[in-house]
Amino acid sequence: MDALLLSTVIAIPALGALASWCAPERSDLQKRITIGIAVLMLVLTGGLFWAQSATATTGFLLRERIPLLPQWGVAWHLGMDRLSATMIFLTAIVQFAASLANAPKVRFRAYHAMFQLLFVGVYGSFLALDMVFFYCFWEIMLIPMFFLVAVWGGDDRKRAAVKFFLYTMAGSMAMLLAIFLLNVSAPRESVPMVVRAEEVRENMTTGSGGEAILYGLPVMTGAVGGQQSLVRSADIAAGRKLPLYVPLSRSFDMLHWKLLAPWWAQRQIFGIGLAGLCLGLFFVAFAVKVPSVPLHAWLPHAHVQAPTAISVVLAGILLKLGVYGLIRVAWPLFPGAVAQAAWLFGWIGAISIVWGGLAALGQTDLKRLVAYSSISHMGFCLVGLASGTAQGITGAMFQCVSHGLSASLLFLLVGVIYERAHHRRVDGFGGLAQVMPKFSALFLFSAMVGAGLPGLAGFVGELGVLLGAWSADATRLAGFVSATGVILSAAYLLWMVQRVLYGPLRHPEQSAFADLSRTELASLLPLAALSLLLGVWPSLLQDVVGPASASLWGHMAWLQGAW
Amino acid sequence: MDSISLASLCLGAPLVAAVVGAVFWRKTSHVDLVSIAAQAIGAIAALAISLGVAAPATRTIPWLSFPGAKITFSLGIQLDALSVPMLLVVQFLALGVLVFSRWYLHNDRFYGRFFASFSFFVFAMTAVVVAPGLLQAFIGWELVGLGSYLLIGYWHDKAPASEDPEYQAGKPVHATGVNESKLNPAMAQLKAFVVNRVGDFGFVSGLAMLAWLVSSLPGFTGGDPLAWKTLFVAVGPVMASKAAFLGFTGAGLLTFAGLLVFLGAMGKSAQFPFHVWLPEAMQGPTTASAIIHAATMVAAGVFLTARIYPLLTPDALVAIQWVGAITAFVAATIACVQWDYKAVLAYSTISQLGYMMLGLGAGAAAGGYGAGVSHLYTHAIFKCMLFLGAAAVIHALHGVQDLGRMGGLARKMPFTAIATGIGTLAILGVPGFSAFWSKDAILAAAQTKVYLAQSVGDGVWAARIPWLLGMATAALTAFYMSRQWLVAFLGKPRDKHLWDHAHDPDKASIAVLLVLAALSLQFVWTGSVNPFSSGSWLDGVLRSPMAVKALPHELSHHIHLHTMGWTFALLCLGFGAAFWLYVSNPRKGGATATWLRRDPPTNLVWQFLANLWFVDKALDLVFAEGIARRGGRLVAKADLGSGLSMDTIVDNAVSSARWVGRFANLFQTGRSLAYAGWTLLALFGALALLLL
Repeated sequence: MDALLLSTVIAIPALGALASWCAPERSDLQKRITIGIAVLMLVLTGGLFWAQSATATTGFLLRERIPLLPQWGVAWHLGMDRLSATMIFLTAIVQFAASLANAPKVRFRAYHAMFQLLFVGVYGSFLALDMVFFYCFWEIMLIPMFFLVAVWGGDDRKRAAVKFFLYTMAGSMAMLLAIFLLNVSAPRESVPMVVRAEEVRENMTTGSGGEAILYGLPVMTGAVGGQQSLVRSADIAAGRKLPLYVPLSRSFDMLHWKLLAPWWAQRQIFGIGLAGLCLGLFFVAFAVKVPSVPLHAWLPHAHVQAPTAISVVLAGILLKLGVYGLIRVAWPLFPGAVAQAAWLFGWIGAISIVWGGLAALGQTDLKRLVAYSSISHMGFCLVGLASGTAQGITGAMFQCVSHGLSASLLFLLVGVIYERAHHRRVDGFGGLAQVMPKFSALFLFSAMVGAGLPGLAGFVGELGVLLGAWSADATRLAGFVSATGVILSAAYLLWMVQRVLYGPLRHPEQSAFADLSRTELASLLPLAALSLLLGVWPSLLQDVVGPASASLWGHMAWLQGAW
Repeated sequence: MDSISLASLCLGAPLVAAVVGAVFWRKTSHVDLVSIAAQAIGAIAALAISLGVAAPATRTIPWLSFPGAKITFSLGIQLDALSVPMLLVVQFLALGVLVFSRWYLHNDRFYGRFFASFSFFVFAMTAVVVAPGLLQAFIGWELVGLGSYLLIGYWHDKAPASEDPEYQAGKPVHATGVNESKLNPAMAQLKAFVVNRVGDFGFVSGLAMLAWLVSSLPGFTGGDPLAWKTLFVAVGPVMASKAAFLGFTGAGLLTFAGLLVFLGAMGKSAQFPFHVWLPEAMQGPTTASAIIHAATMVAAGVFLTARIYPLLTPDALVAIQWVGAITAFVAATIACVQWDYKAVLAYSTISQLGYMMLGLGAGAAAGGYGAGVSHLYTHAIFKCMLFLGAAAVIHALHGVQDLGRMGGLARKMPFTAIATGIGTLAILGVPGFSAFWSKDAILAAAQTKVYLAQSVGDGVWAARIPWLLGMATAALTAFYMSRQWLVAFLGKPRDKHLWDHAHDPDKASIAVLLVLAALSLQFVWTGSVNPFSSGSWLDGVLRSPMAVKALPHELSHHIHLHTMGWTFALLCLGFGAAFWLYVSNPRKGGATATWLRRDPPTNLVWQFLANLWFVDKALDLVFAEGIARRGGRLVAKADLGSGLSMDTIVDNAVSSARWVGRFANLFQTGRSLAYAGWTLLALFGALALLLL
């Protein structure tokens, strides 16, 4: 029954895009389709997340693999582990909130079709395990995003869209080059690679003869180049200590590439280490998305110009893809190179936090302020990942979710007052707390989530990141500097709150502003409730992503110990 | 019920009241009764705990785990000699202040919200007090900060003081140190939160550092590395470990970690130079100040320092003692020239918190632990009462806070005058009142530390200067506190109209004042009617967490007598000066102040003090104006649009390349089919590139 469940996750928004495209140009109908699809996704991914969190395994709960071009090693390969399950559920939550936000008033059909198409790319990227399809889905995101900003954006939309396109395209090219280099350097014929026993135990399946199969490959034991035999899965499950190998050859399979990590570490290309070069290329590709200073400059433009719903998706989900890519691809493939460059990544993260925070302090436009706060907050993810510790990686994953919630909330709320005031100047507001109490309560709440107040989701991720950064020699000082983020985030967010909500009503015409409508509350309250829930009871998420990061940490530590 | 369940009531009841209040405060003003009822439950539970607790009790539940690192943080309740008395103080003062607030704030436009925020604050404060580890202490710490934020900004719709007619009508004439264009509740709450966050940067870093140090010890087998027990046991192994950071190792590293956490305590306890937020926090309702900015929240820093006492190395204690001494002295000098009734109390609070740190910094061997902690409790009660007295005075005078317009109030509001008078005697350290017991103990501890330093011949001046500052502060305290009471309650009314309408608060509020006044008597604390008897029934509670060698009884008795003699002389000096200047001098009250301000030599001192040592101005210039405004603008500008930025390079590339224009034009056909076509084309192009 679950044979094609993951393909369905990708197919539903694709069919939704088709439906929006075929449906007539009526805003209510289009909106209903979009919301309907979002609800469907919420149910589906919620179920998947629940199923994943209910299992004890840290491996892939669901995997589907259909070989398409065997001669190239290309396959339709999707998989859902704890990380993917978390990310697609978060995507569905943000998709739901964004689909309730006000849509543009022109060209609904194309807008809604593009909106759905965007999610095809997002869900696909979170689930793809074949690098070719990962890349394709990555690109699919780029194109609707370009049009969503360029066609339905603000006054300066074209420049913002082109800038977005150039930055992300440059990142994509780097990724493409890395994929190309890795594929070229991959072993031509079958090479036995040593694998970690836990990895086999967590992910193996059993073949017809009782033999263990890892990611579609037979698990062998014995001496390399000598007598080898198949291993029975029962033996591994029973915990028998055996040297384990799998024969690997050229493919585009991410999981195979992960097992090839020692191979990459030994290759040279153009006289330099392949691992270092490809890590650099992947890092550029993903750091553009995160975004890290100095590859972040597209973000403030794109955010300011994009319609509210698109800003929400951009901040809530698309930035997370950068972190996801680092966790899924860059870190497992090149653990040695990551460890060597950890100090650099840590400092890039710390600088993003401080630079983004200071820039946010200097903003006069609400949306741009929130955009820079995203740069600052996402810097924490990078610091946590750079530490290479279980705490840091867990913190980075948690931070992805909590920032997804807090940034979505803030962008939706800025959208709410933009709808009413038709401007976003911070000094163009003041004293709204007297006029819009519900809005004000949620605005303060969201700012507190962003400022990392304990008891709300934002705290847990930052805590994990700081614990991790302090635990690793390479990132300790960067972690110390990163902690200034707690000062900066409180300063720019609460200063914003103070200028917008408090004091006397500065602009008398704003006394007529209506408080939050039901639709607005429907999009905001689930995000707020989740922020509170995850802050008070973080185990709900921590127990899902914790083992995932422990597994990645184990993989990295094992490989470094193995050399 | 066992003590842990009772303590959960202390936590849970205010939280429930806060949630109920937050939901219903707009609809009904009766949320005040919900808060008071919940607080009564909390207070009774706290009383039951303190009467019944025999052995320390701890219960925790796992909260957050990091499987790869074998770390599981726990939350829970720990009841021991430090937390139980503090719990009792917090719960009872909260009850008293809530009862008082019903009278003080009745008919206020945000009435119910006060009670909701207040109950939330009590919940958070209780979470700090009963914390079984450093992480929960931090969580409660930050939530306390939120409670304070909400209460300071209670009248969030007020305009800056310079535009606020109400403020202008009630303010003291000589308010030079205040930047009125930047003073309103909204600004004050922001400042309080952000300044505290600077301290919390240290706290969270220290927390992460300690978690690293403890969890990387070979003896760490999993669990909560930040639980008090685990932390304190790890002190020795950490000192012996090879861990290093920025060149610090061993004991130096532990000093570093301890001082990072202490940075958080400096923020909350308004220690110099973090003290700047507290006087501005007086923008909140006075009753909120009574609990938050006098009795409990600001004391949390002292409480935390006492809590982590076993972690603090002798070097860290020296730093703590210095910070405390400087804070005590600086704030006391500023308090001497304040004419705002609440501002005097605000600076007095800062000064007294400095005293507590001064005591704690003296070290366990000198008796500093017990002295600091006992002053924490006694001060909480009399300062809470003094603030409630201030609320009564300000309410009676319709918002006027200017000492220069008070005078003779004792005849109109006798109960307030008596209670406040007892509070003043207590803070002065007059024998028979509570601070005589606790404050003299602090000064004796400081002097003992000097003696101990002399006997080893090391760090004598490092111990002597804080002691001298503490002694000087005793005289200053006597001066400014008696000045306040004398000017406000004695003499002739300076503003006849205001005086005519003055009146005591209602009966319930008077009862609260009198109960607190009774608790400011020394006999309550020592259990002996003889103020000079040594020992107290609280000695068991005040024993330091580490075993120390006691001084010979003769010697300690001698030091105590010596201190007592000196402080009494200084007290008389301070009181005499105040009495002479403001009562018996022919140029009384305001006239004396004018004379002091005008005369050239005193004018310079006055300017310096009235400008708050220029600390506020300097910090404002560097941080608010410099880093936040200018720095932010500079970075924002550098990031977008200057020649430096990456963005400009891309921008130039965009505008100089003509193809981009054509490229963009292609997309502007407005036909969605064309978009879809482009999507597919790009995709196939990428695929082709990849596979070839």
